[in-house]
Order: sequence, then C-alpha cells, then structure tokens
Amino acid sequence: MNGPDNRPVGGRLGEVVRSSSTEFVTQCYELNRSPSMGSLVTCGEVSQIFGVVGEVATESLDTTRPLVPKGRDLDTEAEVYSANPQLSRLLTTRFTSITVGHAEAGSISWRLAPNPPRPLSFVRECTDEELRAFSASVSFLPGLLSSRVGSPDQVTGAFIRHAASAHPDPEEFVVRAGRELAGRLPGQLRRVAAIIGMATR
Amino acid sequence: MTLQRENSAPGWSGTVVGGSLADGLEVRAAEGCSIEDIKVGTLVTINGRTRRFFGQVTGVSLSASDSAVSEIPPSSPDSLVARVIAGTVAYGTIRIEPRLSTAVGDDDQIPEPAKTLPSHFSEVVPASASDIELIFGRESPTNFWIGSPLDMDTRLCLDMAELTRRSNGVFGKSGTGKTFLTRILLAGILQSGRAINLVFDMHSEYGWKGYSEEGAGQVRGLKQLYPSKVAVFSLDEESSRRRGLTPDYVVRIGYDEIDPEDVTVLREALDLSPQAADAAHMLHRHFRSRWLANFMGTTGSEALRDLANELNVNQAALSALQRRMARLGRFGFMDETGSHDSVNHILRYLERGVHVVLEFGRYGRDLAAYVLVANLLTRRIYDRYAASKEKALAGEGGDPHPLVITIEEAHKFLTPDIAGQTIFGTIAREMRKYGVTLLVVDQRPSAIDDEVMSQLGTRFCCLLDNDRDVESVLRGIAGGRRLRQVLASLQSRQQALIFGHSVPMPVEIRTREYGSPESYRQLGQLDADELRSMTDRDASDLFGST
Repeated sequence: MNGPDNRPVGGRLGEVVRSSSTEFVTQCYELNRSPSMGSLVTCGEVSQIFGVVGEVATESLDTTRPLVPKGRDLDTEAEVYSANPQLSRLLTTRFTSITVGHAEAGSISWRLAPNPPRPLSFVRECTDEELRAFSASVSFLPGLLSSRVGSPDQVTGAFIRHAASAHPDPEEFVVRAGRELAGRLPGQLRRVAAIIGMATR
Repeated sequence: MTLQRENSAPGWSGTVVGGSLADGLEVRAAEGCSIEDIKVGTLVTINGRTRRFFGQVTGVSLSASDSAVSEIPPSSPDSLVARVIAGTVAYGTIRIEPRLSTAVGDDDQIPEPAKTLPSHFSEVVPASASDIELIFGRESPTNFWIGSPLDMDTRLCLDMAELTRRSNGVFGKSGTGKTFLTRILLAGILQSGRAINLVFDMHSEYGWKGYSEEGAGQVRGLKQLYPSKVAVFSLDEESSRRRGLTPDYVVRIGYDEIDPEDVTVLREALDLSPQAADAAHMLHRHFRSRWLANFMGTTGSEALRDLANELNVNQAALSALQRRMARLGRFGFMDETGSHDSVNHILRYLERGVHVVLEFGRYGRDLAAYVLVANLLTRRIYDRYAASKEKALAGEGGDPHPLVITIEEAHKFLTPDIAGQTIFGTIAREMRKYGVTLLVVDQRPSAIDDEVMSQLGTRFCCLLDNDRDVESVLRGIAGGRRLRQVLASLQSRQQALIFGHSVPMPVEIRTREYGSPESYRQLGQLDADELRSMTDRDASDLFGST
C-alpha cells in the first residue's frame, strides 16, 4: 500500500528477506532508495528489532542475468534509466543491517533479540526521537566493530555521526561513544582515533 | 564521575586496582576526575567490603594503557580524541599508603593500624570531616586544634597528653614556619594543662612577642596571651625592656655554677680541642667547686705552665681553654664573684604550674651563650626532677609536673660526638622516666645524633630540601620512603607533615592561624571587657558584693 505521494506508508523502506540472529537483509521497495550506511532501522510489530545499516547493495534480481552497461551513447545517467524502464523491475536494492538491540513494550535492550526478525517484516528508518532514545546507551558499539558486515570501523563511525546529529550536544555524544570504544578496545588507540575521525568528518 | 562530598577535599574518586601492604595501594582515578585535583598528602577513605580504611596519598602519576598516547598525542587537550582518551586510555594513577582501618558500620570504634588491604575495586574518596574527627578526635581541653588537613577547613586535633609523654621535634629549613608552629604547640601544651613548658627562647620570639612568618608584623607571645600562667625570665634585661617587657626574673649565672660537662658541650661553639675540654675535668678535680674562677685567675705563662705540669695536661690545651673561657666572662649575665639562685627561681615557678620562657635577648646571637645556659640550667632542673620523681616513687611526695623543655638549634649540641655527654641527650634517651621531655626545634636534623632522633616521639616537619635532612627525619618511620614525596610537596610556609607517636597516621596540615584578634580569642585570650568583668567577679568573690 502506497501513501498519497506514492511512497510506502509509515516511512517503510522495504521488507526483511533474509534474517539471522546477528543481521537481517532488507529488500527495498524502490530501487536505489536505501537508508545510508550507519543509519538505525527497525522492524517488527510486536517485538521491535533495531539494526544499523552496514552494507547496501543494488544488483540484478536474477543472478543468472548479470547487468551489463547500457549508457555508452547516452549523456547522463538519468537518460540510462529513462531509456531502460525495465531496470526498476530487473534490479533491486538490498541492505544488510547489523542487529544491535530490541525493544519489548517500549523497553529497549541493547543486545541481540531472542529471535531474528520474521521474514517480510516491514523495515523503516528510525525517527530522530527513536535514534536519540536508542543511542542513550552506547554499550552496543563493540558489537558493531566485531560484525563481519561491510567495513565495521566505517559503519561504526557513520553510526556515531548519524546518532550525534540527533542529540542536542553532538560533540558530547561523540566523546561518550569514543570513550566506550576506547574502553573496549585496549591497545587500539589509533583505531579509536580513526573511528572518531570518521564520525566527525 | 566527579564526587563532591560535604566538608571534604575537592571531589575526586578512584578505584583500588592493586598494591600491597609493603608498597601501598595502586588506585586508578575515576573517569572525569582531574588529576590536578589530587594532591600528595591528602587523607583518603577507602570503602572496602567489610572494613573502612584510612590512608594518605603518597604519589600521583600519569598512566596510559596504550603506548600510542605518547607516540601520537592529541593535538590539544581540548580535542575530541583527547577528551575521549582522558580517563580511559590515559588516566591518573594514585599511590595510597593505607594506615588505619575500622569495621564497616562501627563508626564509634577507634581505627586501628591497617593489617590488611581493601579488596580489589574498593572505592577511594577524600576523607570527610567526620573521618578526620574519627581518626584524630574531636576538639577538647586535651585534644588541641593545631591546624587543618590539606584543602579542608576541618579542625585537626592533637592529643596533648600523648604528645607530652615523649620528646618531640619540629623541623624545617629557615623561614618555613617552625617558630610559628612551635608557638602553637606551646599554647596547646599550656591550654591542655598536661605539662609545663620551659622554653629556651633563643631569639626572644615566644615570651612577650614575636614576628609573623609572613612579615605581617608582630604577634603576641605566650605571656600576652596567658599573663597569669606564663613567666618571662631574661638573660638580657635591657633587651626585654626595650621590647616593652618587664621580665619576671633576670637570670644571672655564677662561675661556680659552670661544670666541666658544660665545657664539653661548648666544644663546638668555643672551637675547643678534645684535650682542652678534657682539661676542664682535671681542673675541676684540682680546684673543686671554684675551679673556673681559680683557673681564670691563674694568669701568666709561668703559673699556667706550673698548673699544666701539676695536672699533667698539655699547657697549650690549658692556655687555649683559658682564652676561650674568657669569652664567657664577657657575657653580661655571667658573674664571676658568686653563684645565683636562677635554677631555684625557675623551679619555683614550674612547681606552681607557671610556664617559663627564658629570653636570651642579644645573647641569643651567640651560640656559646645559648648552649651554656640551656645546658647548665637544664642539667640542674633535670637533677631536681629526677630527685623529686624518686622521692615520689618512694612515697615521699607527689609527682612533679611533667616538664617540656623547648630548645632551638639543637644540632649544635646534640651532634653524634657530644649527644651522649649532654643532658639533652640523656633526656631524649630516658624520655619520660622522670617526667621531663624535649621539644627540639631545628633546621638541620641530619646533624642530630641518630639515637636522639630515634627517640623523638612525634615529628613536625615543615619544608626540608636537603636530602640528608629529609632522610634523617623520616628514618625509622613505617612507609617513610613514600613520605618523601609528601614532605617535598609542602609549601614553604605554614604547612607541616606530622607523624609519630601522638598521631594515628601521618598527616599534612596547614597550621592554624596565629596573629589576628580572632586567633588570640580562639586561643583563650580574654579581651579588655572580659578581663574587667573577670576582675570584678574575682573581687566580688573575695570581698563580697558592694
């Protein structure tokens, strides 16, 4: 069901097409309409599961028919899509989220959910208010760093930057997150400094 | 977490992460605490699981769990990375010497020496006012307020009964507040009534008036604060009167009162050879009681040679002794014609419970005069005390008032080579046996005999910067090595480290104020109206109301 502006209701981005205890893959309703890396997304109606977008991929729906270049004689990328309207049916955008917490009856737990998201759960990006509430604790950050999805340090830096913007004092949030990382990554000061750098640039 | 506890030093906290009884505790400063708030010497409370410990910060250091902190330091202390690693990767480490402990929940129990350690991760916070009171006691007639612990306004008190039970020392280099502190201690002893003071006041600073260490002008001496309890004796009446004081007694010393032992003590001050000093004993055996007058009367080289031959001593030594002893004759208080009753006068005052300050006036500038008079009077007073004490032990009379004798520049006559021969060495060693103890005020403790130093019960140390002096003062003190840093961090004025018999644990203090009208009132001096009203009351009691 689409809204009046032809966008999915409730800010839905897509649905869960594959899930495990530690991550879930969402297939977007619209091509190239994925949340940015490091965004906080949520899915589930009764038990809400939170994930940080770790990797985004746009690829052919049919793995046996790989995409080939189509714009050799065209001037802009937009012309490529308008000249090939079938692309939106042949391609899909999927993103993988790293599970960082869940909530039951509004109470947030910053650890893995007992069960992974159900397939076809609706996935949406969290509001600023939800992002602020979830990032009240940064104890889940080491989990992001140990994930094998995407580039963990980049994802963590992106999440910190993203979450900081939802806080009244973004710098204070970056320091708080950085201290959590520094405490959990003994002897890896250079790595922590690099993540802080990614979070602020 | 930054803590701010009521009546405690500036807020900080830490967590015990290691340590031993021998080396002290290693404490990690809590995140958010500024290492700049943590000072060496601060008293702390360590909240163990079953026991509460009390200790003292003996060292502060900057630590890092990652060598990259020093390899690639953040560009500025305010940078994000600096703020991130401060307290996490880079943190403060505090060294704490645990001294006392008490069971948790038993706040009335007097803390006992710590024989174990707080468990891992026990919380460490600066001691509160109530902790200080628990450790050092509440202010009372015998528990005298001497100052405040570092960065606190709490009154830190000393048990005067314990203090006066042993000889004590006040040390510090020149201008660090020894006199100031000694004046307060003397007032405390006086107020407590636990002992009587006899002060050999070299620079006339304790009796009538002295000078503020901070150059703020004159301060009142004991006589002005406690006129009916203090008598000022003077060796130099002229000097006393010039300073507005009519002394209670002018001390004169007769030649007959000088013993050969006094000459031995004067060896350094008079630059006498050991042979010359020994000759005094021979002369005493030869001439008996008037030995010095007779010896000084032996003039001419022939007479002196005959005397040397008769005594079988070297004539040059005898001649040197005579030349040097002639210097004593130039002291205005010396009387070669006869003996005086100065000792009995002093004793009569002491027996009445009146504290005696002997001002040296201009003679205070001559070490020979100071050493001679202090040694001579003390020896006789000590003999009388010993006799009184022995009589008391035999059931013939009461115990004499415990006596505290204050001496300055002690390193000049408690040196290792003569300490065994002076009365002060004897008093320090025999301690309270006869109820006489010393309060040694000195700036060169390293020159004082080790045995004498080891007998000093409580030591009050103002700033000392000579390594040998520091070593000497801390010798024999548990954890003394680690107190070096505390001692070195003292400010150059009005701060002192106290340790030893009369304090349950070493403590760094800021000495209480002395010199303002309020300070005099706190020390018990009555103002004009109060004095008038007291006089009226006494008159009324005596003669009945009119």
